[in-house]
Amino acid sequence: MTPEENDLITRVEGDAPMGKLLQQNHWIPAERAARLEPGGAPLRVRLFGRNFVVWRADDGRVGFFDEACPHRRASLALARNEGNALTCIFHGWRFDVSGRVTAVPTQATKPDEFAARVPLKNYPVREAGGIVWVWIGKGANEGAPPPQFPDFQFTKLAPHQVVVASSVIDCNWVQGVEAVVDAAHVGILHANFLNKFVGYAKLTAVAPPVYDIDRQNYGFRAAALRDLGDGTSYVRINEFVMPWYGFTSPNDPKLPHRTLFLSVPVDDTHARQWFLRYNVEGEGDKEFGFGLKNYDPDNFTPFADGPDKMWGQDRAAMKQGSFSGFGDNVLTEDMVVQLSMGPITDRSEEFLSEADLAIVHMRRLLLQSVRDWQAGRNPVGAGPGIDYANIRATGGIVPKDKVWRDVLPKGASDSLEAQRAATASS
Amino acid sequence: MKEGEPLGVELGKTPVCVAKVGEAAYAISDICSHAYAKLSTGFQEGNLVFCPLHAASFDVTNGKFMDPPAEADVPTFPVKIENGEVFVDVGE
Repeated sequence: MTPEENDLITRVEGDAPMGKLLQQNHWIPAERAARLEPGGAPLRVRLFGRNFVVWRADDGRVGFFDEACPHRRASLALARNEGNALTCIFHGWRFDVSGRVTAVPTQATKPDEFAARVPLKNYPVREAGGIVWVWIGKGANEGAPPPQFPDFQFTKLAPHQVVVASSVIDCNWVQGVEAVVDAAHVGILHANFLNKFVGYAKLTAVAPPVYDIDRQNYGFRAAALRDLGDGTSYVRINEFVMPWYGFTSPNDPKLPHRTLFLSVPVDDTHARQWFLRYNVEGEGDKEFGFGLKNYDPDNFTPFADGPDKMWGQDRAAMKQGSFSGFGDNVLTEDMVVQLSMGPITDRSEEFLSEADLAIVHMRRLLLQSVRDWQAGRNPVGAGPGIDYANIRATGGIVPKDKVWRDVLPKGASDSLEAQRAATASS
Repeated sequence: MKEGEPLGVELGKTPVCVAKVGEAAYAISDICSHAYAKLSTGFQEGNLVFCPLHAASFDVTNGKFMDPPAEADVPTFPVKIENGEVFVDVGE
């Protein structure tokens, strides 16, 4: 990768092409739905270097405005939230949740005509899967048709089924996406966690994997194949969905719990990482599959100390059985190695190896999407026509004389659903 | 075989990358001359195959390196196509 290509995939502020294409072609996860109280404080949200506020009206509807009041640019995070409207505390200008300007007390002459001309920027939102999504592309605040919504399986589950958490991390969004796409680190960085876990994931420590990438119109399926030495391979398939979604292979596909990671640009040097744990059949697992308790869902991966103290890495523990020095919190381990690369890592100085193939494919896709955008084509990985609803990360044992793409095909091939179907027909 | 999807095979002890260009097929060593990586897991554009790891490239028709960081050519192997099957002579 050249320095120019590195800039093209990472930079998202102002006129940067990647920022423009992402905002235009994708719905953006913006806030945790349960965090918004009816009539509660408007919350600041920063995306792509732009500042917004998100808020819930008394009647439950969600509003999403530019943070700066269109009058004199005071922050609407200070505004009163009542009567399904925000009232700026500075001069009392009032903005209904539907985007209509309903009061302009500083305009004595023809206030209604004047109010109709006030350029309030409000954006369409959708609430699904425990997340408030927003579209902030060109024309979004003028009623332009939005892009295809990513109606993943989890977006159709009831609120109690989906556990949502996030953290803002002080580095570029692409490092966050790579943390999930890179399967090569699991057996090493997360050795502490694997030692405690009984299940398929433990097999990741058994043998180094061979990777096979199967391109899809939404991104790719990344299979890691590990020879078990008995005529079979253990296959873990992660699904990368453009532009930033990583569904990880479930540790036990017969159980209904699933995990999704995503990394959304806040600006060039900050990203919001989202962690979703959902149960396709019942109550979501609040412990995320590894015993996490007592966490703040909006600051999910706090560090024990700052960067100058290596984020609290415990050297004494490393001499006594801890591989990484970060306890057994896999998310902290992931965040720390990403952060340690710097605010925007220079990929032109890397030297990749065989097991980095998934990362190579992911970067190619991101670069291709920018080149498509610059050439006026629909960017790769953007809708319409993407079947988000049937994407499933899966895994299992595959006999060595069979092809994993046939044994574990894409689509709703969940072991759970497949087993159901198999039992129903027998 | 499809153009744009190189195939990696082990023939005897020799890793080979077979690539289709138009109606013809070519075979070169599957190991990049820059660092140990399988060219067949990389990307083909026309008659060039790009190594996935560091973006070196090689002309499949003659094994010559094109893009850095490659600094050396890769061996080529004779190919014949008979009745729709591709045969490669690795000289073992």
